Order: sequence, then C-alpha cells, then structure tokens
Amino acid sequence: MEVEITIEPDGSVSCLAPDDLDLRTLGTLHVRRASRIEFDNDRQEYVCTLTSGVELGGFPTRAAAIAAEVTYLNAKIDDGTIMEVIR
Amino acid sequence: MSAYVSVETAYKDQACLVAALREMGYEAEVHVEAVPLVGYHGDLRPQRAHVVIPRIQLGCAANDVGFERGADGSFKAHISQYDRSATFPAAKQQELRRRYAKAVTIKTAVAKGYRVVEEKQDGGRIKLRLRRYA
Repeated sequence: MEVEITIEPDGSVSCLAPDDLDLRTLGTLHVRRASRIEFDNDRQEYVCTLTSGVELGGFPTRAAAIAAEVTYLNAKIDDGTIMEVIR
Repeated sequence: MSAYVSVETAYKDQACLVAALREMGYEAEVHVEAVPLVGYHGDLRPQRAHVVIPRIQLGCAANDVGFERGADGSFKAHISQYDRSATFPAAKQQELRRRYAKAVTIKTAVAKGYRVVEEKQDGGRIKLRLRRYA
C-alpha cells in the first residue's frame, strides 16, 4: 500500500485519505469526498466520477479504476488544482 | 472511492516539536511544569511554557519563545510582538510547522509499518511517498 502526503510551505498537510493512518495526530482534519467508483451496467465497465462531475474513463476492473483515480487525484494535489476537480 | 484530507497542523507531539526546533538550530528546554518565560531584561513574563527556546539562542533583545501545553494536550506558541517581527518571524514559524508536520507524519506512518520511499522538496513544499509492505 502506498500513500502520498504533501506538506505545504505553511505546514498544512494534504493527501487522499489513507485507510490505516490516523491523521488526527497532525491536527484538525477537513475531509471531503473526492469521487465515487461504480460499475456502469450499460457500458459494462467501471467508471470513476469526481465530485465536480469529471469522469475518468472506463475500466475493466474496480482495481484499475481505483489506481487511475488515485494517480489522477495525486497529480491534482501536486499541481495545486485539486479543489477544482472535487468542488 | 477516495476522500481528500487537508489538515491544519497543530503542535500535539512534544518530542516532534523539540526535534523540529533542533533541526532549526534551537536546543529547547523541556519542563514538566510550565515555567514563566524570561523577557529581554531578564524579567519574568506572565506567559508560561513547557517547551522553551531560551532568549540567548534567539539573539540580543529577544525574549524567550515558549510553547505551552493546554488541557487538550496541544501546544500554544507564546511569541512576543518583538520576536514575531525580529527573531522568530512568520517565515520561521512556518518552517517550524513544516518540519514538525513532517516529523509527525513520518512518526505516525512508521508506527503503522510504513517506510518513506521517496521525499521531494520543491519551493518549501515537501512530498512524502510512504509504502507499507503487507
């Protein structure tokens, strides 16, 4: 299992919520849903939909959808545009 | 399905706070009971703290900088108005918070079996990649 954590110059921290790390050790958390992954019965593939409505392709497996979602969201955290895709 | 977490870092871990201060070149005093901070005249100030950077480490005309543990276990910084503008300004306070956040992140992750496999720094931003082997 891998987790990417970003510490901003002002000391605030951001990441995709890890399943097994209690980040309350760091301070006050603000958590918001970023996406959902569902199987589309018509398209016969898994689809990841961000809370902004942006859709990430179709995937043959749920694991593939999760991997693509995590890569995409981490890139958005990296370039500082995460709030644009999970608004 | 993912959730996005942002954290307002707060000083809760005394050992990590002291370690972060040490990385910045300060040897903080640690007290079981809060002690009064000392002002630049050698006077005792009304603020008390459990973790203290003695004024001599901050420069001439400095006052002690302290961190007082509250009832909830988190530390509140006591930095005089003078030191906020001279010896311990916003940039240093941010640096401390950043170093502290890194120390606590790693401590929390290691306790769960993670290792830091990559660390990148870019303009004051720190990116940690942590991996746990099942």
